[in-house]
Amino acid sequence: MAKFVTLKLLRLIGVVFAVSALTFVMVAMLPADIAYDIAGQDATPAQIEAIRAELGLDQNVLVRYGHWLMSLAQGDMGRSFRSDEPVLDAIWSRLPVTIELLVLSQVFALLLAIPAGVYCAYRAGSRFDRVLGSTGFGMISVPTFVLAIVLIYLFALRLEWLPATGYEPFSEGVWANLRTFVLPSLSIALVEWVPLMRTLRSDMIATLKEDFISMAKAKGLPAWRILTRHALRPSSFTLITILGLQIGGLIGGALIIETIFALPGIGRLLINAIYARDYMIVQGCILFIAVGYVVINFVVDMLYVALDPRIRTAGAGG
Amino acid sequence: MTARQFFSGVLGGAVLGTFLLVCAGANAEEPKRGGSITVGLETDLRGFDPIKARVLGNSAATVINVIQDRLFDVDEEGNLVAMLATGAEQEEGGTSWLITLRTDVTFHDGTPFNADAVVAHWTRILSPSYVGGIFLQPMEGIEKVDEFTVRFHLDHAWGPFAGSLATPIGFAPYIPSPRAVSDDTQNRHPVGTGPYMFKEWRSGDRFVVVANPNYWGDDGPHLDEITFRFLPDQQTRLASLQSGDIDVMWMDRGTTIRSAQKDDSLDEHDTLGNGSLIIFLLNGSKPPLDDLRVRQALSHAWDQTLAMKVFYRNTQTEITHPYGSLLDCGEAGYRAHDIEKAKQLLADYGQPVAFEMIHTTTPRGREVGQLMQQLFKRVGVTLNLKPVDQLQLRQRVFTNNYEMSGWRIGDIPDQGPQLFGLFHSKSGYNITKYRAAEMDALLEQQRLLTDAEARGELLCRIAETINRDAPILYAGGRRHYAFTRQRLKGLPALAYGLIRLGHAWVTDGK
Amino acid sequence: MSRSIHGFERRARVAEAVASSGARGARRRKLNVMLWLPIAWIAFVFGCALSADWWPMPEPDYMDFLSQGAPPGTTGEVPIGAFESSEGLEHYVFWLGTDMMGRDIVSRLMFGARVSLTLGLLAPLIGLVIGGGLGMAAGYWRGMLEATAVGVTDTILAFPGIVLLLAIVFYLGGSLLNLTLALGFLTVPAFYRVARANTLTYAEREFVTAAKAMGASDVSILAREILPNVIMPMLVYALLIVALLIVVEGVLSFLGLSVPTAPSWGGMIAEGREYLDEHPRLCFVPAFVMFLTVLSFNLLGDRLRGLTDVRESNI
Repeated sequence: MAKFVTLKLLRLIGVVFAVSALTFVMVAMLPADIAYDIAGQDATPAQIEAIRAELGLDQNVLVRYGHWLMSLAQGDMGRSFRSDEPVLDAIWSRLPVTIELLVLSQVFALLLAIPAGVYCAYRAGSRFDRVLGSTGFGMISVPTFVLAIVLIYLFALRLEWLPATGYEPFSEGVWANLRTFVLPSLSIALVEWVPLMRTLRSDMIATLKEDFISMAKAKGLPAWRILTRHALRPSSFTLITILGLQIGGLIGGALIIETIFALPGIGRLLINAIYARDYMIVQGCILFIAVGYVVINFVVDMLYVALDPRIRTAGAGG
Repeated sequence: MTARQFFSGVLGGAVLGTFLLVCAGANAEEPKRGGSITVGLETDLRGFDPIKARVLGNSAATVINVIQDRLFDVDEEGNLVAMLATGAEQEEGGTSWLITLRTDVTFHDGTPFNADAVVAHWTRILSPSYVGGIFLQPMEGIEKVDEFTVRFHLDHAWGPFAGSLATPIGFAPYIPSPRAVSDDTQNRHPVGTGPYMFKEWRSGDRFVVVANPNYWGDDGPHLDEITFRFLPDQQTRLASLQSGDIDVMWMDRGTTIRSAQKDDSLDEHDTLGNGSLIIFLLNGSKPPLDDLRVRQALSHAWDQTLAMKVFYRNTQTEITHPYGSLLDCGEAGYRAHDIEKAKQLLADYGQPVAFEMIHTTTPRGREVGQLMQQLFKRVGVTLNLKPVDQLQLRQRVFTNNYEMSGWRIGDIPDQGPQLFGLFHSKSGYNITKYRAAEMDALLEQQRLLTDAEARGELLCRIAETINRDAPILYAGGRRHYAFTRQRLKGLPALAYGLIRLGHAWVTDGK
Repeated sequence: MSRSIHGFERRARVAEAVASSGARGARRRKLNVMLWLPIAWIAFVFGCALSADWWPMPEPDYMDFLSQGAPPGTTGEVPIGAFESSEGLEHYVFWLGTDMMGRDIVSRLMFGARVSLTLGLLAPLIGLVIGGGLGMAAGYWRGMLEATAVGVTDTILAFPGIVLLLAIVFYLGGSLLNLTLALGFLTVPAFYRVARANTLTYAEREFVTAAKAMGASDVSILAREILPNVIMPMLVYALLIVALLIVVEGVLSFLGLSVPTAPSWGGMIAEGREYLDEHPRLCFVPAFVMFLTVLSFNLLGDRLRGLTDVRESNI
């Protein structure tokens, strides 16, 4: 087991390196560089050359990547070429937005999925179950960005209950902050609750057939108590796995949601940095996203192993 | 602004203060002290060290304007008003200027304001490392005369000199604390002599300034605190303004301006500037655009009236020259939309015309490209669209690797240097590769003229030559729009599109 | 965006989890309607995309400057088909109105279907062939091949797809071909996983062992014994990816990265967003068309998976 974990970890570190190297080369290959951003529209070619030399952009890509790796080894992620801000600070200041969006959207998704999944399993095959099943199917077919626009139209433009876009930090008050996150999180949650609900429902149906449930029923415990106390926990392993996968996908920030709702998260930081060819920020973000993604997947894989020992042998390669 | 006007306008600080107070008193009620406001800015800031940050965008200019003072300011009529300077005197036929400074000012960090501070700043500005120096070419250097006097040296007598010290855009006029610059902290923690002092900058989110209790001026600061929020999306900003989350914002999209105008709780501020928000460069070094007839035909095929409706919903107006509110050159021989003339010129040229236009991938860029393509199609010209991102567009324009591209003419106090850069055959910034001896001569002459009227005539002749030879097409002038909540008062006209908050106050202050 | 790209993988595993826990069954009776309706809609969209050139309507980029933002049912004078000169204008009804530049929404929707369908169908095909082939080989031979393939796919998965897409659009230009290739590449890992997982289960089955004992070569076992069993789940899975890619096209449009010179549904939604308050239809009409198409592909995928499950249990 220890060997399996070590191997897996080593491979993941390799993946992170490969990703960062690939990004570095790819972004360096993009036409035009940050000198054109820094110099603005009124610069002469000579000035642009001077900026390029000053930033070391005239050096070979591999040399630059080497420099970056060296300073990374010393714990220095560099500074933004554009604003001179340390990369770590830039990521750090966007992180709360991304994490809040991530947590809230999954909380909303679970708030929808758990009651719905439990009830549908309890009344499997009922009209309610079927209606919810079809609704879920419909909702998973709504593109997130379309859902976001519909929500903006309804709740911001027509009803004027919530702000259409924008972001308020916690320091402006909890409610002010939450208001700006309701629509973005719902746009994600209303799509992502469906797989959660379906998984929970089917696992729960299986659990409800187990002996210990029959015993609990025989003891005359009320249905809601059996469902929440006895059946929910053993039925939620796959649910947690899927939740982990969804979170893994959100680590990079739900870029499109951040864009539509003008939330200053990691995804926006990354894409703006790419547009500006702010290489240091791009590298920092990619490193962060890759590590986040890999760690979450590692945890999920370990969960698999913990749940199902057969994978330990079969999964040695994957 | 000419030297003559300037001389008559140079006043002592005391007289000046009175003048401003009279103005404020005549226009509105007495400013109230206290309260705070939030300002919606379009972009995050890059920094405040001229050499490190290099370019001062509109957002950063709004911020630097309340933190750092300039030597002079410009009033609503375009007259110079003393700020950190008390007077200016022309010497040696205009090839040098003697500037006297206020003696009672200190920077936020306690450093005294004096000739050393001005010399240190301007030396950096005039060094090759500062990018914005392109429009300051006639300035050769600066020297300290005594503790509170400096002398600027010019290559030749230069009309716009005084204006360059007063313009609220660009890094050059804003004097930073020499200590903050030498300690290398100015970029992310700006220090000046202005009415507000730096408090906090959370990148991607907000920038906060607080009142400077030791401000040297009389009119301000009235507010306790100003928060600048970075809200890149214009609709977001409008929504925040309407809900009262922000008190003032600048805008340029027709749809947002039109919906803001419908909102009774907002006050509109608009000012006509100069320059052009969008122009199209026709690269004269690339066939078929090297042929005069083709460029002329394209300018007849182009329909500026329609563009105003489609791009701006008529919130911008058509122009025939780039001088906006500065000068009136009339029609200046502008080639209006005329399909028949265009077809005739093309028939004269005799070959099929097809070329490529680069535009940005933004919604605006795509709109512009698609409209252009349609209009050209109607005179039988094939325009291939090539969407690129902003930086690639700049790269291709600067490296002469394009045929047609969108660009802009900046709104600046004097168009002379900018037009010289764009159209003089020997200029490093001549991106249209337009070359005409006649234009070169006109551009050189306007540089040396200091008489306002004669120079105006010359500038109009330059505009006519542009229209005749068609190296560029105009897509509207530059009317600046800002909207404020009604509680916010004390906003001067939006010169150069800048929201200046130094004198701002709120009705619900103390 | 990175979310959507990671989404391929996520959807794969989520779909596996949902499928393996046997969620379906109750609704199978309604199978016919729910199978034929999506097929009919997809066929309709296909028909529109293929025949867009032949309908009596203006070109999708023709701007009627007198009918900007016109409501549905407005009539205008437009050239039918390719624009030649201002003389051949004909009376025309904008059944769904025009956008803010005076272009016919119907025409744009029909031509836009081309982008969505080309991207949606061709990109998964690339993933299916490359990823499927790799996955089967890895699942069958295991060893170093599998280890390498896993490393490569893990790297692709951890790599935010948006960087690749931006690189391709900036470097090579945002043509339909380039986008299709890039998105196809990004779907490879997902197909790889499905193929490998399925191959693993079949590689140990009796009929494979039997074929081996009879001296069949590895290639022939892969082609004759394993492929027929693996292909159905792969195709079903491909349908889900088709739906996802149609959405991805929309996401790219929002970032200004989709095919910029052709009308596309995502592009129409993104453009319409600016006028959401005044003219919500500019956004919602293409959004609804996109939703119906995505739903149809999802339903079809779901139904077909139901059918393949039945087949498997009959073996």
